Amino acid sequence: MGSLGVNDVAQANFWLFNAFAVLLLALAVKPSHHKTVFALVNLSLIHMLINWQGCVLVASMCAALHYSCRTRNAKLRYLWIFLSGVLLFSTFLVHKLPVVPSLFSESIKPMFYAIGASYIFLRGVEYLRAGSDNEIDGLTLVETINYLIPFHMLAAGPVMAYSDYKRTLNVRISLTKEDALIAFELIASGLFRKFVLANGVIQSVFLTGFQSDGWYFFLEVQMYYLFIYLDFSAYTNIALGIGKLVGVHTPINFNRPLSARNIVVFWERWHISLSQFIRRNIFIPIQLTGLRWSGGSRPSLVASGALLVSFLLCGLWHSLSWQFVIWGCMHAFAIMICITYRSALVSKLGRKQASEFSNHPVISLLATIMTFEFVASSLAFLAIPVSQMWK
Amino acid sequence: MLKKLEALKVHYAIRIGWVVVRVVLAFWMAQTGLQFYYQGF
Repeated sequence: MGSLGVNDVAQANFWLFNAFAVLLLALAVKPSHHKTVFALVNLSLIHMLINWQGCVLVASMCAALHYSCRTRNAKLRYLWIFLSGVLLFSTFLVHKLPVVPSLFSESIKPMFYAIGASYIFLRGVEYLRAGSDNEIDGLTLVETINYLIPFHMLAAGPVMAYSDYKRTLNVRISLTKEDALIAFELIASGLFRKFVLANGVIQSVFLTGFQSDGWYFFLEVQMYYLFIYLDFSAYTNIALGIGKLVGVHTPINFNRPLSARNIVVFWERWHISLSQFIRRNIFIPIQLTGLRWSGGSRPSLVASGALLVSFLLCGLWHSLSWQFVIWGCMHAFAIMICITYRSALVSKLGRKQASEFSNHPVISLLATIMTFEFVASSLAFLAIPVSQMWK
Repeated sequence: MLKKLEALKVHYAIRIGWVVVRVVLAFWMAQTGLQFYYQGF
């Protein structure tokens, strides 16, 4: 998954940093102090993970986005937003390229990993979209920094919606004893999932990099899906726990995706913040534009096209590779098939009977297994080396 | 019985204990490297 310095999460420094950050933020009781300390902590993490040049560049990028979106003249604002968008997208592309072009010196190269990091890019896009809708008004630079690079959401999301951020910005979250215990439970659950279940048990016992064949290959496909889920949801739980402790609203990212009964439900439960980001910023704008162009005719075709483009971009956001393009197509077509099947079932049986049929325990179990196997296969497809595929 | 346990805050002790167990296990596993290795089936 796209991330900034995920391997750093396994290092003691990272945890010492988090503990120190939580302590500092707990001491900063006054809201304005809390925001300033939070921004300093966020920039300090960039400094720790990359270098001071990276930190300066990220802060400059935040300032560029902030002031672009606050320009009062509408035409000028669009121009600045366009230029900031080009800058953001270029750095994201450089970050995604397997090798940073050699024209950059070694000390500068790490900056691209910081400034173009996948999650900062997504928040930047969300921020610029809000800016183009003139929704940024009233936000300070410190608050912009806190939206774009929150330290506990840098490693693996979630991607907070700008509207959610604005809504919760001045909501004071008071930490009760029960909340603190829940926060520690979330952090403990994340650590346990990551280091004990995902790395300690599944990765070391079951995963061989898909070198095996026969029934063990089939087992490894299932285990790989479990590994990705445990590893990824672990980061979210830790982020949620830290967010609760430091009084920063953090959205949930997973809601029992393994038991999803179909692929549509799966995407409502897996990496929820990214799915919602794609719906808000890619799917709906493309769908609306398509409907406008077609004059409202062929809505299914327009929705299918929007879905395909959304998943292609989602795949490419993860990695610029053909495997991810195919992965995106697989999921888009699976959703199309699922929606077509559901409407065919409703038109044949009627809404009530179709619902009864779908809720039958055996059908429900089969549907859950099929969804699980489809997602597991699509993830394994990304992990299997190309040379191994044609064996 | 349940009320007595609740009065003794046993559920808090269990929750805190489980948090401690998970954190210690996680840091031990992270510190010592991977404890189990694929032996082949």
